[in-house]
Amino acid sequence: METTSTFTLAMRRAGAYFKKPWNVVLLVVGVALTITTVSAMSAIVLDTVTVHPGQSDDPTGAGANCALFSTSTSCYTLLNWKNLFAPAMGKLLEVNFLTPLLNSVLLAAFACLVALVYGGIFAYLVTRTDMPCRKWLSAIFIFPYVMPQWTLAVVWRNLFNSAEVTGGSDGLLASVFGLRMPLWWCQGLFPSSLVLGLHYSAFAYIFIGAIFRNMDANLEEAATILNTPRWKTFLRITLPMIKPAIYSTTLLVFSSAMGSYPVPHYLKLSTLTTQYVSMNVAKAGQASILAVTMMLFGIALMVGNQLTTSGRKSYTTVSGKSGQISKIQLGSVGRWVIAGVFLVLTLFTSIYPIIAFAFETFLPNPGDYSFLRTGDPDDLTTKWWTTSDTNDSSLFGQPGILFNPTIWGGVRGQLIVAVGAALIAGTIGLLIGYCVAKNRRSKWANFVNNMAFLPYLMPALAVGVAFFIFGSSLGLFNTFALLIITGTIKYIPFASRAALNSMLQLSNEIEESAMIQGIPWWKRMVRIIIPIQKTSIISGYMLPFMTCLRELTLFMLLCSQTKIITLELDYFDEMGLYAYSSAINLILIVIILVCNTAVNKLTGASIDKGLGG
Amino acid sequence: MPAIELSHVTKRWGGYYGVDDLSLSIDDNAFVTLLGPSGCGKTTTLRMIAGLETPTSGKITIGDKVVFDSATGVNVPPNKRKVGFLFQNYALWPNMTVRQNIVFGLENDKTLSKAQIEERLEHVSSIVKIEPYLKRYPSELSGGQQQRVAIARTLAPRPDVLFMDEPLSNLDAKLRLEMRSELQRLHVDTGATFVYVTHDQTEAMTLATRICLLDNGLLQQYDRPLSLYRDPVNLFTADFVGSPSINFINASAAGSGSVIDLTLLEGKHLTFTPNTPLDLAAARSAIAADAQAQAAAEAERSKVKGYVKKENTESNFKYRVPTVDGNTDPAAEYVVGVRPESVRISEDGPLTGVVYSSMPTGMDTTLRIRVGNLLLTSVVFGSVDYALDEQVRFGFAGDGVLLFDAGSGKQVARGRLG
Repeated sequence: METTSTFTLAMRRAGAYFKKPWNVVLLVVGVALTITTVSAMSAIVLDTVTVHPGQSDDPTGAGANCALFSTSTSCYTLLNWKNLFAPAMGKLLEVNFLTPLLNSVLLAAFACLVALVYGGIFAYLVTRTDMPCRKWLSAIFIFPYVMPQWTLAVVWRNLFNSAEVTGGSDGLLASVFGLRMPLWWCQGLFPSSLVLGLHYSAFAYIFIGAIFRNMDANLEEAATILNTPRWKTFLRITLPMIKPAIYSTTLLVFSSAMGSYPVPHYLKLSTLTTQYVSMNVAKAGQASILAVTMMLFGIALMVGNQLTTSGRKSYTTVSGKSGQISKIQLGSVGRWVIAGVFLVLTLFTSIYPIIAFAFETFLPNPGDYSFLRTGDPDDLTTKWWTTSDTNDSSLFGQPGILFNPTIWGGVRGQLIVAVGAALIAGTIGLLIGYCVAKNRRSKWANFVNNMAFLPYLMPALAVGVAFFIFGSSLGLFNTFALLIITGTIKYIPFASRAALNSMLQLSNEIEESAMIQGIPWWKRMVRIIIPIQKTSIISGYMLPFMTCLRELTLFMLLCSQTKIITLELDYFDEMGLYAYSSAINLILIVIILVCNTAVNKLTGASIDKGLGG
Repeated sequence: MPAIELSHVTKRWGGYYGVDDLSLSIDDNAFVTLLGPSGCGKTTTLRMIAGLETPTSGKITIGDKVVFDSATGVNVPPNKRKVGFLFQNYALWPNMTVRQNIVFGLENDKTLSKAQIEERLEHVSSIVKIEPYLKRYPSELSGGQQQRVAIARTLAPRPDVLFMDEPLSNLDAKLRLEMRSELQRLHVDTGATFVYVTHDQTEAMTLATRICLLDNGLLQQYDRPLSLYRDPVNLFTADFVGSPSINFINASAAGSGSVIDLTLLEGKHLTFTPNTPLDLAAARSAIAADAQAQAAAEAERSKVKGYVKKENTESNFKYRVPTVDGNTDPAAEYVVGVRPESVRISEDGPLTGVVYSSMPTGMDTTLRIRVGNLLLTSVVFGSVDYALDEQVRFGFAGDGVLLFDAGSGKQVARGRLG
């Protein structure tokens, strides 16, 4: 019997461990992700106790501030917390913290409600009834999600604003029909949550629709044969089946709505995000407390997700074999009426914005809708697009959109960020999905999976703030590198989820049969795994790409306004060049739709496959 | 040459023992089936030998090479073990044609020239007769054809050892029968060692040169198929092997040597003549001593560092005596096991019963005979039928009647009963 020393034994075991490529990948990716995510998040927390240069409401000298602890270079204090929660003027707490917090929570909750009801009903109609035009409707139903989330907010503003109620120039309805909607309709909580809800209803549709589609119709038929009333079947059988989809939609929409900046910004609702932005310059430390608050919500949602996913397993039998889904008859009139209603709604949310943005770029002055009354083409202009006269004072020396280096530079920047983040996030996500599927029992694999998943439920602004502080300390501010890192971290979950779902569908034996024949790992990946699952893997790359293309909130703190196109919206709005921001929106939507259709047609990958329900 | 040797191999997940202290030696050129009910650890065993699963402890040798040893930390990856593996769901790569599926692994072997690869492809595809389909994709083939492609792919690298994990379970009954005989030919033609996992005892009986019967992670018996049938070491083996199942009859016994009085079937008396003289008391105390030794060994094991108590113990086999009303027959000290073909209907049989059901197939007839509340199964060869509720006389033929100790389930003796 040979005796082996403990050291050799340990070395051999480690050798065997690292001979498996997925263990190496998990270790490297896990450590890298943990360091980036944790240090970025702790950077915000640290920022709340940091004394910021030139803190305007800092009455005492710098020396007195180091009440908490100090290092040789900086000092730390609880002053920011004290200033926020026990301000010198009593009203400030309400204005700076309590109202924004309440608004954020209400906004997120109502957005969830709208998304679930609208998307859920639509999912049911498309999958389980004989409503006509289902294919076409479901294609345009997810448009609002593909488009930038502020699209509808801007459309809403341009449609309903009026000089009397909201100030500024008249919107379309006010100037053409003299229709003046009340203030609560034009801005604030109601339109914000409606707009965000419509934007995210695609999630509800994709998640709930996936379950409806896979659900074994026998489950409902069994109840029907037992003579159960239809409403009871729906309440007791159908609804519990889609519960997991409701949970995942709620979690995702809640965190996304909470972290949204542009929608409340355009519709003038004071939330944690807008308040953060307005306090960021003068009261950076206090603003970071708002970011920490958002982060806490993210963590709470994460915990909630853990709790619900453990229950979700019990529903895995749902994907039954019965292909015969009996469609519910809506009646010969009813089915057309319902289709008509959804047609109008989806046209308004999906097609109208494109037309409206295009139209706005031809208005001679913002809010000058005289063309609609006169029908005279002279009331329109192409100067915003084509002028090359940089001395025109109404354009502030900006050349026309077609020749504007700022705009096209921004488009280029946005594309660089989107491609970079998509390539990295997609690849890392693919590796994580693959390795976790290979190592389902390992605690470390689950930890890495959760670490990668964490940013998914973090409000975008909080992630932006974290990387702003983190990146600035590394001297990366205003670099594409920082934008790409941030985009990567935030959107890895999309890719890793898509990859994990597809890897779990792939029987282990497919790879083992190659392993036994001595085919090396890279060759198994390139020749077997990736070709088989290429559609969902491409979706894993496409989702981060699409999302980064139209991302504003996440990047707005990380670079100068002209670096990427989404940030230039505010840049031109501030100059009063509304035609330019409309054009930017139009350009963005067109790029996104073209990319989406191209990828879809070429590879069969699509957004809904990537989210994977 | 690849004789496969497992010694004290254990695989557990937490307290759940998938395979519990298994020692097994597989001869070169053998056709061994790992047999057992689902969840007994047979697939896990196979995967551990192939290197797809890492044992918790133990040692595995293939040929003269140690491929796994928990004591020295040796763990040879599956691709270095030079084995072939045929998967239950075939695991054909759907993105490659049949030809690519077969050739893909060969291209990886740098010692093979293009011409050699071509020759291998031709050879294996002619063995399993798939030449016409080489250009097709797996999804364009029927289940049986896919199975053949999977076999061809496994054979192409000419492995010395071939592992098969329930390869026939996805085929329909007729095709399964056909493939079974082809596998038998393949074993002879290739001269490789086959290790074959199945839960189908007929498959195991008909194919194997040796059967390794597992239950709940524990080795029950490792023997030639007919020995397993004729001379099962315990109630589980007796019950699992054979279709229709063996008859179990509760009995109490008295006497010693070559004349043992059995009281069974609701108070009837018969004489059991063991093939070798038997001392009942000694046999029982030997069984008790054995159990004690095992408990002591277990206690010894529990002292070793890293020991985890086995949680899945209560699923051990419990024998069942069929009754008319479905109630359990009160347990007795001994159990008599009689194969259905040994329950012989005859005019001068010592016992009487009533025909409870009769199922003729043409080749034979399976009868259920009712004695009081108890049911016995009998197989009568030839084209005969019986009227239900008809009274028949029967007895036990041959010297293959088995006597088991009810408590431990161990076989005590084989002999005649009359």
